[in-house]
Amino acid sequence: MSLSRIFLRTAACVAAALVAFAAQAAPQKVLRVPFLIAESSFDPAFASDTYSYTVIDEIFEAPLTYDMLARPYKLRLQTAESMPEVTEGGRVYTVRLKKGIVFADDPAFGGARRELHARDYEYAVKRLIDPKISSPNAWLVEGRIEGIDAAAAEAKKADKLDYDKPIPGIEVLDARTIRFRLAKPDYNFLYILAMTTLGAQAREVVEHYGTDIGAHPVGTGPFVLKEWRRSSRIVLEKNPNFREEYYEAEPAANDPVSQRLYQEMKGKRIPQLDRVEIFVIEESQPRWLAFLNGELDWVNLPYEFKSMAIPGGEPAPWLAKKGVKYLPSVDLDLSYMYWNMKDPVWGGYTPERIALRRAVSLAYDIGEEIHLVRNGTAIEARTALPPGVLGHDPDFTTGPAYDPARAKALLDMFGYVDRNGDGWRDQPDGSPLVFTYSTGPSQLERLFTQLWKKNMDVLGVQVKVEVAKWPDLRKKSKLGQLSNWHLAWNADFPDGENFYQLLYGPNCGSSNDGCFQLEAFDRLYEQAAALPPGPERVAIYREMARVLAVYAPWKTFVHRLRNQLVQPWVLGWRKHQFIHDAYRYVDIDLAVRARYLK
Amino acid sequence: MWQMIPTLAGVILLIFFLFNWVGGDPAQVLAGKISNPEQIANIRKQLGVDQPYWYQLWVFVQQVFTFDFGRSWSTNEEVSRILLTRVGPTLTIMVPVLVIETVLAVALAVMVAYVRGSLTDRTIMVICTTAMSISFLVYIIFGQWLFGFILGWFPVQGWSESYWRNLTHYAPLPIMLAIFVGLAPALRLYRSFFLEEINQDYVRTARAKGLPEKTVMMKHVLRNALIPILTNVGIYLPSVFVGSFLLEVFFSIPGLGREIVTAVNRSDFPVIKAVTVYLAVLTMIVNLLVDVMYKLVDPRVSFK
Repeated sequence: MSLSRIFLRTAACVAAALVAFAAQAAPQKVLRVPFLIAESSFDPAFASDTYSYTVIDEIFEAPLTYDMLARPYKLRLQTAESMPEVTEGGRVYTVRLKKGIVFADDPAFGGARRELHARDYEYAVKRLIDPKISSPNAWLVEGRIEGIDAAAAEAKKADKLDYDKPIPGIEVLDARTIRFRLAKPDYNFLYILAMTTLGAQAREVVEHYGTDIGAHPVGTGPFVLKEWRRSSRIVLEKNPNFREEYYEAEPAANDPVSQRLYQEMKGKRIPQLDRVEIFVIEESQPRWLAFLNGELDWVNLPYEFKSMAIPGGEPAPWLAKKGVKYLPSVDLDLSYMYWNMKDPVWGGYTPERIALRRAVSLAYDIGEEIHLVRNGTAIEARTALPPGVLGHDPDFTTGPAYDPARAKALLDMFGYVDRNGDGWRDQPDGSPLVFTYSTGPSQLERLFTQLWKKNMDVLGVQVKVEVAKWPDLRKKSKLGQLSNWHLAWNADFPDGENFYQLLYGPNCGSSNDGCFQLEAFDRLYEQAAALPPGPERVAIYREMARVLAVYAPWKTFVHRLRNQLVQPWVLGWRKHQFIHDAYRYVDIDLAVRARYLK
Repeated sequence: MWQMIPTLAGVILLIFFLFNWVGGDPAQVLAGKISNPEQIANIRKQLGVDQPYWYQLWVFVQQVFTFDFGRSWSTNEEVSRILLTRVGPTLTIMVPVLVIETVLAVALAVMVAYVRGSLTDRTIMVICTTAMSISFLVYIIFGQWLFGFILGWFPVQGWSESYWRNLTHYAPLPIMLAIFVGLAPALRLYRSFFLEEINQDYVRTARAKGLPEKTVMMKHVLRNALIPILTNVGIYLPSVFVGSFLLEVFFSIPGLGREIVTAVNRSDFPVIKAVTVYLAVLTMIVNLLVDVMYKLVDPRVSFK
């Protein structure tokens, strides 16, 4: 061997060692964030809570996802090669997958690289109807995909699902193509295809880990689960097998914050983070102090610190000096109270019952709820649909939400007056009128109870408070034993259908707890479902809002506000309603972090 | 010792009936956002809560004797694993608390009892009464803010995988706060034990014989006062294994106290069952050990 070749080889070895050393020595980009509530499991079929899904979203991948910055919300391709082909008037969806997507390495694959197969999506859907899993997410596919209800019923009867038996509505055409045939036209199925609940799962992994699968999530996403101390600490690391993808988004031109975030991330390879450390911090004080200490990279401002941190809706000077960024947003949710339409006193569709429900709604001081109980962290909900959801009408109004004089006049007009001189209003037939308020024992719920009691005292309506644990109240609610109940709904996708299904007549007994069954409303609901998103569907949703205003089956309260505070070194991030924390779209400026924390 | 069997049977019956009467339906918690009666029925079937009560009770008894409580209903994690992984952090906090608090309380109580009626004694008693009047929550909130945030002596919260890092980095502040809270009532109580012994005839006799005061206090008074002190420590000992819910929640310590409250909120009966039975057995064993220790401390005590 010549001297020059020896020299070249030695130089190459030294260079390789230096590169490896530099890679090892390069400071890692580590994001540290809090969870408010403990996660439960990382099995997409078993878990249903937001926190578990915040992690699941980074490990598993559905065919579609959402654009991080586009508003109104917009779908993007994830593992799908192109947008699914929708045929037969919204009944058939054909999904073609990108080439070369592989799962993260796992012993279950026996050392081989495992490429994504269309069967992995079929398997994920089937797991949702496995009676052994009792998936809380089965509603996403039950009643939607052709033949799935029959397969679920058969599996329940046998107490076992035959995974090898095909479901008529799911066809794997080849390794990269899957076709879903729906039971009826449903243009919102595209949104279902963007939910990680349907993220690809490898059957061999699930079978390898058995009942422990919740602790061994293996997907095609940008991160892998590295460490997990349940209810305390979760560590994700960059998936070395993740495909080459670069950040792209469509921020609204009139949204400077989104424009800034876009510039911070534009064209960067995803993910930028090497590691994500998640800490479960249930109490607000340690969460807040840890954020101020720089131990956490963002925090959803606990409402008790709001007046100190963002007085007048702007970050306090001491926070601004630290470079903290303030990102307020409205959650796509609704806090509401349903009336049991089958209740002999409060339910029904006759004018006096409608007047009674409206009067109680008008007597409730929503301003006091927002400013005193919620410390300003909510906005009034005028309809069932929050801003950002297709069908939301910012101009819709039925007059002032709080009008006790009008409430009293309505009750007087329909004969709900004090008939026995005890100081409380009675029903038109002379029997006592009692508003039974069912609630839980928490501090917040006690505040709501006080507010209701105060408002009903002004109206002259007697209040009976029933305190019970949430599971007991839910059981009673499902059995139609409550006259009303205070609930909240978080959007699963940005379309009015996701909220209005809570009032769709045939859903009485499942999601329609108040059993509101009105033919006119149901007809509108079905018409909207058969239309693609667009002005026609929006017009129907407006009409549905009007019907609800007339019959008053719900008292809508608020949409919650999120006051997110972000450290100055965090780039590209804002909370997303549907892809949660989206760590894949976050970067960290290590120099800025070092400067602020020195 | 045989008394342990009916006690355990009583505990099993009590937990079983309490859960079935007031525990709430777990199927409602696990059913997710949208459920229907068939789904609820299937969850009940998978959990086994659709079986007759006598059968469920029999399964519970089998679980107690096999130490296999199955899996958590809400996380699907093995209950035995939950207990094993949570008890470590709890003991990391609670054992130092018990040891330091007992040693400090006994030492201070001997000193205060020795100077009973003096200004020092009165001042310490006033401080103890004041300290006892303040809620544990106030100590935690203030201590976390002052020592963790303002002074920066300790991290505000956290826990790691390393035992030594936990003991030296994350545990000192919660341990210190727990000692602050527990010291005042223990000191008052132990002082009263010592005062009772100091007034006994045998102490007067020992002094009359000319024994040095140190010998009187440390050999005679301390030994006799140890019996009620042991009883008190024995009562406290089982709680060492359950931990402090408030400390664990505020300092993000993944211990048993926090797990128990989470399990109750989620109607997670397997975890509740396991923890309650384990605690009952532990309490009985500790009581037995304390009885044995009486004999070691005071040979006059008889087991008959």
